[in-house]
Amino acid sequence: MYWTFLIAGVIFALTYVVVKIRHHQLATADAVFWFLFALILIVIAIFPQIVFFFSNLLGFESPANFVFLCLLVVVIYRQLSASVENARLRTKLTQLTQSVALSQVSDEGQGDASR
Amino acid sequence: MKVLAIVPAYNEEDNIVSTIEDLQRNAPGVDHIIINDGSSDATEAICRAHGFNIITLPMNLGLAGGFQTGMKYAFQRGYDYAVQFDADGQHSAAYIMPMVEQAERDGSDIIIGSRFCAQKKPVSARMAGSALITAMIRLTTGQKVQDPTSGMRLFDRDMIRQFAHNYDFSPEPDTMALCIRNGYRVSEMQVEMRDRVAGESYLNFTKSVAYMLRVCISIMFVQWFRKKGN
Repeated sequence: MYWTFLIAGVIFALTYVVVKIRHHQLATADAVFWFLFALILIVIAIFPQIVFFFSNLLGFESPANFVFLCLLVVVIYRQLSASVENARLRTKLTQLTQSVALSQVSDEGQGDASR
Repeated sequence: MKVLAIVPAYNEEDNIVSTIEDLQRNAPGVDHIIINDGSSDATEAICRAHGFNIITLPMNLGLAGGFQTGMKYAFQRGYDYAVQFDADGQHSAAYIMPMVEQAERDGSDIIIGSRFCAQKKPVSARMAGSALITAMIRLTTGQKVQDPTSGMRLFDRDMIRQFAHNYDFSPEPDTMALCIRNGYRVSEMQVEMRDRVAGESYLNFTKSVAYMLRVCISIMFVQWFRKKGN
C-alpha cells in the first residue's frame, strides 16, 4: 500500500524540483541529488523485492521501517550539510559586509585616527 | 602607544553622543571608532553631525560581526590596544587608561573590566547566570573569572590580530575561556558600571536563557574541538 504513497511522493518531489529549476531557484548541482533520490525511490517502488531482501537480511520487523530509516538517514545528512553550507555562506556574507564598510572608511581618507 | 575604543552601536541615537563625549573628555589620547551596525534610527546622522569616527555596515551583522569590523580596523591601523566599549553609557571611559597601564605592567593579553573583582555579586537571576559561567570557566580552565559577561574588555595587539582574522571569535565569555585555554593571560580589573541611560537592553528573558544555553554548551563542549588559531 505504501508504495503508492512512495510513487506519489516521488512525483511531487520531482515536480517541485523541476519548477524550482525553471524559476532559477535551484542550482543544477543540487538538483542532481534530488533526481538521484527520486530515481532510487522509483526503483524500489517498482522492485520492492530489493527492500524486502535488505530488510530481511538486516533483521527489520517490517520493510517499511527499513525504508523510513533509510530516508531519515538521507534527510539528516542533508540537514547537516545544509547547516555547514549555511555557516560558510554566513561567514562569507559577514566578511563581505565588513570589507565594504572598511573600504568606505579608507576611501574617505580619514586621517583622524591620530586625533 | 595607540589605543582604540571600539563602540558597536545599533539604534543608539539617545546614548551615542554622551558615550563619545565621555571618551573624549575622560580618555584623551584614546581614539574611538563607532561601528554602526545597520541602525534604522538617526545614529549615523548624529555621529556625522558631531564629527565622530564611524563605520557604517551596509547590513546588520550583530555584535560579533560588528565588533570584528572594529578589530579589523584596529589591526589595519596598527593599534597597540583595543577596548570594547558599549554605546549605551554603561561603561566609564575613565577606566580605559588604567586598564592599559595594567596590561603594560603585567603583560595581560585581555583585561576584563570587572564589576565584581573587589565587590561581591548582588543576588539576581542575571547574576546567577554570571556565577554559572564563572563556575564553568573555572571548571574547564582552572581560572576564576569574576565577571565573564562584562562587556568592557581590553585586548592587546596579538588579540586584535586574532579577533580580526579567526573564525567565530566573538567578544563573549566562551571566547575568553578559549583564550585562557590557549595559554593567553586574561586578567580582571575592578571598574564601576552605570545602569543604562536610555533605551532598552538587548537581552530580554527568552534571549537571556538562549544566550546562557549557548555560552554554557560552547564552554563545556564545543570549545574542546576548536583548532587553535594562528
